[in-house]
Amino acid sequence: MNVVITSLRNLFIMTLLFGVLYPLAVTVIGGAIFPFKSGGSLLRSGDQIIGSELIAQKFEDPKYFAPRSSAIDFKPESSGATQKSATSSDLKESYEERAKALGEQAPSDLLWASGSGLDPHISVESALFQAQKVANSRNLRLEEVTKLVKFVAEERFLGFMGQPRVNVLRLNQLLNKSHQR
Amino acid sequence: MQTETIFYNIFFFIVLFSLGYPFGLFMARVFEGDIPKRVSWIKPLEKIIYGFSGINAEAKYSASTYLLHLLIYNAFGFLLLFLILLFQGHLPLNPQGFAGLDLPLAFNTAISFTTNTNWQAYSGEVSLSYFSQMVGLTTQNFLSASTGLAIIMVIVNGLRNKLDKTIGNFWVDMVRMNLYVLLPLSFILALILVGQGVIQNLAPYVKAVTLEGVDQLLPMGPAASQVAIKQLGTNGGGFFGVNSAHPFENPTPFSNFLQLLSILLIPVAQVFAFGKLMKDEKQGFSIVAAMAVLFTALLVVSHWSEVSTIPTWANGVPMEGKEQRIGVNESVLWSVATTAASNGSVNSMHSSLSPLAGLVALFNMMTGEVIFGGAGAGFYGMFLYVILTVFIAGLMVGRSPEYLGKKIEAYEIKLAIIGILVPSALVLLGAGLGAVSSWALTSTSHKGPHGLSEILYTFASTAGNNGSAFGGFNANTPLLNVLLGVTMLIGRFVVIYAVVMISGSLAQKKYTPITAGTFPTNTYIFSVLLIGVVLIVGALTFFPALTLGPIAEHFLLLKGHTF
Repeated sequence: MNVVITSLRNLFIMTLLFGVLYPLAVTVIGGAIFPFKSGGSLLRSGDQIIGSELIAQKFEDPKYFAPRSSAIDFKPESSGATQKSATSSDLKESYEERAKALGEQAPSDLLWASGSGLDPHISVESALFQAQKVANSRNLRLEEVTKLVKFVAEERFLGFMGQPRVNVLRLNQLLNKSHQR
Repeated sequence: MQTETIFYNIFFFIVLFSLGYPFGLFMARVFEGDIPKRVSWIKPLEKIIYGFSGINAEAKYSASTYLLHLLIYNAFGFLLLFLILLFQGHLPLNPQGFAGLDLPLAFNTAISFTTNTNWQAYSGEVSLSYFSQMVGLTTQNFLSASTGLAIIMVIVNGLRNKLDKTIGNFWVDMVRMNLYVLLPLSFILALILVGQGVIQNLAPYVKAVTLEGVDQLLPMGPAASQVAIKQLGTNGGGFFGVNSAHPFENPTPFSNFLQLLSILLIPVAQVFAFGKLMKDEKQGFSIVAAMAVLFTALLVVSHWSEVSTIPTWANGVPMEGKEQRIGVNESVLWSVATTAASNGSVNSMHSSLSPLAGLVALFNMMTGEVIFGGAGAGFYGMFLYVILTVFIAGLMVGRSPEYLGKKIEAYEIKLAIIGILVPSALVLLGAGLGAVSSWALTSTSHKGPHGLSEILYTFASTAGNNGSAFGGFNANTPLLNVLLGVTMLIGRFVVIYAVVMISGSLAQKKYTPITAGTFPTNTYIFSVLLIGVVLIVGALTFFPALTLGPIAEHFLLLKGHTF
C-alpha cells in the first residue's frame, strides 16, 4: 500500500503549496503592491464605501446616467445573466420594452443586458445619448455634461484592445461632485 | 470586420506563437528533467517533495502501474475536495458562513475539478468559502492540469523507448509540471491580474451604500490566484458565477488579453514540446499547423455568424450577455479559444451567442477538444486522432501503419477508437436521452431548438471536460449532479486509459527504421489528412444533432421566429 501513502503524503504537501502558500503569497504581495485593486477598487465618500469602481450599481433617477440592464437587478452577491437566445420571446420582449422606453436610436449596449449583470461601463455613445436627460434634470447645459463624459471616457487599450467606454459610477460621482444640486 | 478586430486577432496569434514556441522548448527541458537555469532555484523544493512523499524519482513504471498511480492519486484528490466542500461550514476562512454543499453538488463539483472540467453547478460567490476556493479548488486546478500534462511524457516515452516495459514515473512528471511550469507562470500572471483589478484578499464581503442610497453587498476573496491557474491549466472554473465576464475576475481589456493568451499558451506550447522531445520539431509543427488551420476556420465562422446574424426585431449586433469593456470580437475569440482548449471559462454568455457561434463552441467540444486542447488533454486527444490518421493513411497506400518508427497495430487502433468514441457516445446518448426525459427537459430555459442545444451543450461540455455552459440550463438538481459527475469521470479517464495503454504497448515494440515507403508525419500533407480525420469524425458523429439544435435555430432566427 505504498502508493496510498505516497498519494496521501504528496497530496498533503501539494495542498500546502498550491492551496495555502501560493494564494497567500499572492494575497500578501498583491495586497502590498496594489492595495486599492486587490481590495476590490472600493470608492469612498468620507468614511462611507459607496461601491466599487468595477461593479455597476442601479441608477434610476434621471439626474444620473443609467448603466446597462442587469439580469440580477445589480445585486453583486450573485452575478448572473439572462442566458437568453435570440429565439427566446422573453428576450424579444425585454428588448422591445427597452427600445420603447429609450427610443429606437438607443445604442446597442443599452438595449441588451450585460454578461455579468454588473457591467460597470456603457459605451461612449450611450453616455452621450443620455447626456441631455441628465443635463435637463440637473438644470445644466448639455456641454457641461458632455465635457464630463469625455473626461471620464476611456479609450481602447493600446488603441485596439477592448472597447471605448465610460464608467457609469465614476461619471455619476463626478457629476455629484462638480454640480452639487 | 473592423480594422481593430483584424489587428487584434492577428496580434493575438503572433504573440501566442512567439511565446508558445520558446515556452514549448522550455517545457520539453522540464519534461526531460534538464531544469532550465531560470527556474533551477526551485530544485530543492522538488527534492523536498520527493523526500516527504516517499517518491523514488529514479524509478520507471509500466503503463498499468503508471495508470494506477495516476488514478489513486486523483481519487484521493477527489476525496479531499469532496470532504472540504461537504464540511466547509466547519472549516476556517468562511466569513460569509456558507454551509457545506449538499451531497450531490459536492460530488459533482469535486469530480468537476479533479477531471479538469470545472463544470460549475454552483455559483462561487453564493456558496463557497475562501477555504474551499483556495485549499480545495485552487489545488485541484494545479493537480488536474499537471495530471494531463504528465500524459504527454507517457506518449513520448511510449514512442522513444524500445523493447521496454516502462513508460516513466507519474509522480516525477506531475510534480515537475507543477513546480517549474504551472507555479511560476501562475504566480506572475496572478500578480499582473491583481494590478489590473482582479481582487485578491481574505476580507468578508463589503457593504456599500450606493449613490442612490441602496445597500450593496460586494463579494470579496482570493480570486486572482485562482483565475491565473484556471486559465493556464485550462481548468476554467470561475471564482464567481459568471466567470471571466465578472468585472472582479476580468476587469480590463488587458486582463482579458492576458487571460485569452493564457488559455492557449500551454496547449500550443505542449505540441512544440512534443516535437522537441521526439528530436524532430517538424513532428510538432505538422500537428500545430492542423490545429491552427481548424482554429482559424472555426473563428471565421463564429465571427461571421455573430456579426451578421441579427434578429429581425433588433438593430445592430446583439450585446446580450456580453460586457462593454470586452466587446463583440473579443467575446467571440474567447468563446472559440475556451472550447478549442478544454478551458471552459467564459467572458460572455455562450447561450446568448448567435446560434452558429454556439455551434462552433459545441463542435470544438465534440471533437474532443483537440484544436490545441486542454493542458495535456488537447495533445493526448489529438494523439488518438494522429494514430487514426496514420492508420487510415496506411490503409490507403497498403502498408502497415507506423508512427515515429513504431508499428500501429490492432491493439492501438482499438484503444484509439475507444478513446474517441466513448466521449462521443456519452454526448449523444446523454443528450438523446435527456431530450425525451423530464429530468433534463425541466432544466432547460428555452423552448424550441435552443432547448435541445442546452442539453447537447451540457453533455458535450461535461463529457469533453470543458466546463463552459449554456447557462440557462439548470444543472444543479440531484440527479443531474450525479449523472453529469459520472459523465465527466468517464470522459476524462477513459481517454487517459486509452492513451496510457497505447503508449505502454508502443514502448514494448522495436524501432522500425524509416524507409522510403514510410508515410511521413512531419509534413503538411499529414496536417491536411489530420484535419480531414478530425472533421470527418466530428461531422459524421454530430451533424444530425447539430442540425436539430443550432442550425435549425439559425434559420428560425433569421425569420424572426421566437418561442
